Amino acid sequence: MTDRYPNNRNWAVLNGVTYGATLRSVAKTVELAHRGETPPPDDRFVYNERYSVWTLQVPMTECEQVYTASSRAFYAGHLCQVIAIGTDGNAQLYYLEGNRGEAERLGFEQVDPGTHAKTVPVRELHGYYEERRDLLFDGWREQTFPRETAATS
Amino acid sequence: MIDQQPAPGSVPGAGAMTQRERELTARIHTIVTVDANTILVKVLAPNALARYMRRDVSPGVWGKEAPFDYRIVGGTVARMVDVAQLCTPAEFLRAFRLDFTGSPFTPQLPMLYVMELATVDPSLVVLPLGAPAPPFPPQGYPPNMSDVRVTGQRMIDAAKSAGVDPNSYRLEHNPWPYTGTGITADAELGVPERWRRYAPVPPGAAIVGYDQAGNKRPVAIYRGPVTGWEALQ
Repeated sequence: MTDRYPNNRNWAVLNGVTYGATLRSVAKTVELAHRGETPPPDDRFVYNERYSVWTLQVPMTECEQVYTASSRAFYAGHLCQVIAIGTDGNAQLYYLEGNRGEAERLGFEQVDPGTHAKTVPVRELHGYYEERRDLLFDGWREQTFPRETAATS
Repeated sequence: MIDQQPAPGSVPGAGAMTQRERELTARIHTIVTVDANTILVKVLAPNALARYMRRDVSPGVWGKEAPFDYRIVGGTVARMVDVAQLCTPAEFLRAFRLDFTGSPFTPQLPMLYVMELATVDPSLVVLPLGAPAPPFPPQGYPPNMSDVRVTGQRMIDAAKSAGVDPNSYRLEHNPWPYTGTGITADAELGVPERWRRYAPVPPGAAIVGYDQAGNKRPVAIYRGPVTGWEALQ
């Protein structure tokens, strides 16, 4: 597996630094993770020796950005999610479009309910990009443009 | 019948319905809604539990082992409230129609593993509406894609007429036993199905097992990408 690609994770940006993130959606907090023995710039991080990782839990609203990244590319004209890229030069794809009969014609195999997968040479991918789902937008919208409550007479 | 095996030259599932029947079926999806707190279930392939537990992130082996990442989940799901009556592997196989070509599932599985997860972000979940498309290699049905496309569009029209939230569904043409109605192809145990985009597993998600006697037991809980899955014994 290559380290750089693909990217199918949650991330948060705090004080200009990007961290891997775990969402605690009920509490509206996010746990930030920083790997390595060198501490991150924010001195609130606590080192977890068992997992060799620095972690910090903060309210989501404290972060400049919180998002889910998803690696996408086109294969034979069809949008796919890139799940892995091996050091052998092959990429593993999940089919994302709504015609899985066509996916099977292209050689994708159903590996579990609703999942069609195929391994292809990474050179056959086109238009690789990262989709980012902004996880702060709904909260920002609610705060900035609150729903009108029912009028009382 | 929704689970009737397709006859040569016909479009099964949504294609075997009148437009009125499609609209009545679509009306179900105005009631079967998903919000951030809805608990979803995802049937796991037989080898998935071991891969989740060992924190597997691997490209797999083509033809033998699918690519895997213990931190993400997606594919066909259903609401937990809609599958509460299912107790055994055989019942899950029928309800989710896990008899697809090349399926690793059998009714004799000693234990079937299911992930239970909070929706968190409802926009990750879509209702697949449309029509069954020809499989590959062809098995003799339906006669051509134009019949499939017309049926699929009629199912979408039915959803619009019934008032289903247009942000909640998308047009899909998938091989049978996909029905195109948003309900799986079993007249007795069929369940409303959804398709979840592949995204991180929410912390607190659990894996449970169902045995042949109908017993359900918790197996593991997800603590997050750092800690991974914790066994519950």
